[in-house]
Amino acid sequence: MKKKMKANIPTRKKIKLNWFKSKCDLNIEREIKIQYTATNVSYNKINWDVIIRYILVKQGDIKEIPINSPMTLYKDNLPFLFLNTAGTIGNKIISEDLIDDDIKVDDDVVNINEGIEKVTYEDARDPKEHIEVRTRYDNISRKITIENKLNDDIQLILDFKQTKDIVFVSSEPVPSEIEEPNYKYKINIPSEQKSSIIIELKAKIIARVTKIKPEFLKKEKQ
Amino acid sequence: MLIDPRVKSIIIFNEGGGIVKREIKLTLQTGSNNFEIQNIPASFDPNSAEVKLKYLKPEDKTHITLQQTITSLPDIKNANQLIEREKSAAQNIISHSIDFTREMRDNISNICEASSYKTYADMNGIFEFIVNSSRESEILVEITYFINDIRIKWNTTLHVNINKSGKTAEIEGFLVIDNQTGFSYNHVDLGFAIYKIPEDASLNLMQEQEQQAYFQSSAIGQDLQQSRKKTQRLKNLML
Repeated sequence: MKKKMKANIPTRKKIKLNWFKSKCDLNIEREIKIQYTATNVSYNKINWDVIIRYILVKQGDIKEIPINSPMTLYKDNLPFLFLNTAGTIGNKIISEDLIDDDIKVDDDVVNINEGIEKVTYEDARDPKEHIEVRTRYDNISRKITIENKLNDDIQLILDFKQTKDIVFVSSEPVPSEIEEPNYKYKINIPSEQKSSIIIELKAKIIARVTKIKPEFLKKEKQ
Repeated sequence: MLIDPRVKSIIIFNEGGGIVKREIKLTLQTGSNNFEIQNIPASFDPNSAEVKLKYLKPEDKTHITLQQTITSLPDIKNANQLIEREKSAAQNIISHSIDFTREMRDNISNICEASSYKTYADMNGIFEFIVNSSRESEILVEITYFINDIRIKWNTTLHVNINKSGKTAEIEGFLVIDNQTGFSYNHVDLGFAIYKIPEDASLNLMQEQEQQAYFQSSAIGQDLQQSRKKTQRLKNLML
């Protein structure tokens, strides 16, 4: 039977009512999503964000909680995090995604082996010009270091997504799960420790330069 | 005849507004019985206004019928002029309130405050109905209408106490009702729904300027002002 709630709602006032109280399991999901472009793959240093979301699996009745409802997390009876809900699925209450500022991710280039440039030509808008397309395949190795600055051990998923220009070759350690184009690593990092992954990539680097065709270049000189 | 049916229940929408259900027992005279309902906010939706007769005696069904309902909203121009006049009077009273004694000052400032917050939606709408009866009798009347006022809404807040293991927690959910309208609802059955009243003309009773001012002040603005149309089904909250 549906419960009935009675209350007084006075004009220009806010009232607060108890709704439910129950136990729940707490899951913390942390994820690093990495995807390079032809430009940033050769950067000396890249910083990635660790996305954290809290998932509460409630016991008892399903409660429909509107999105963006404020949620306060307490530890030892002290509030330590203020966030909002992103939605509910059945008994799961899912928080919004936040950047975990206590986990640092440094992504440094280790080595770049430039490939041999192959030159092809494309038509330009101007009939006197053409586009010189220089294509090469570089082998790049990058080291991703994750530092856990928290007092607790953490588990996270590093999700590398390859693109048409940046292709996965190998890694150390090997991915825990491959579901192309995603390569996922399940990583445990003890408190105040670091963990690293070295990824070998093949990058298709294309440079385009518009030039005057040689025959017209001579005429202009004359 | 002026009547003021008791508000029996209100279902509040999380994005503002709600459905009000009121009830009253009426004594009918032979012939046509006209009733005018008091305390109908101008934010009510005339199209949704409904009167249901509940017969106390089964034989009344053939003797008592609802002839018609009459609804109307106050004229926006006149209502706004009236509100402006009240506001300026309230301002004058506040500026002289230093002369009042402490007890009086509190009462007067409450009245003045109510005036200064008053908007078109706090004015009274007209909701009348005519019941024809071929004999003297008593009847229970149930009145239902939507209110389109973003100043009455609810949201939830959650308190999550994480246990020492960090794997389990205790969650407490609270319902927070914010009623910034000029109407009070005393000892009513509460319902909560996840719903947003469509922004079409029949329900969009608040003036554009008022809405903008409210959206800006409550900082919920941009999402609500988006005119993207999508399906939405009213979800009743399980209490």
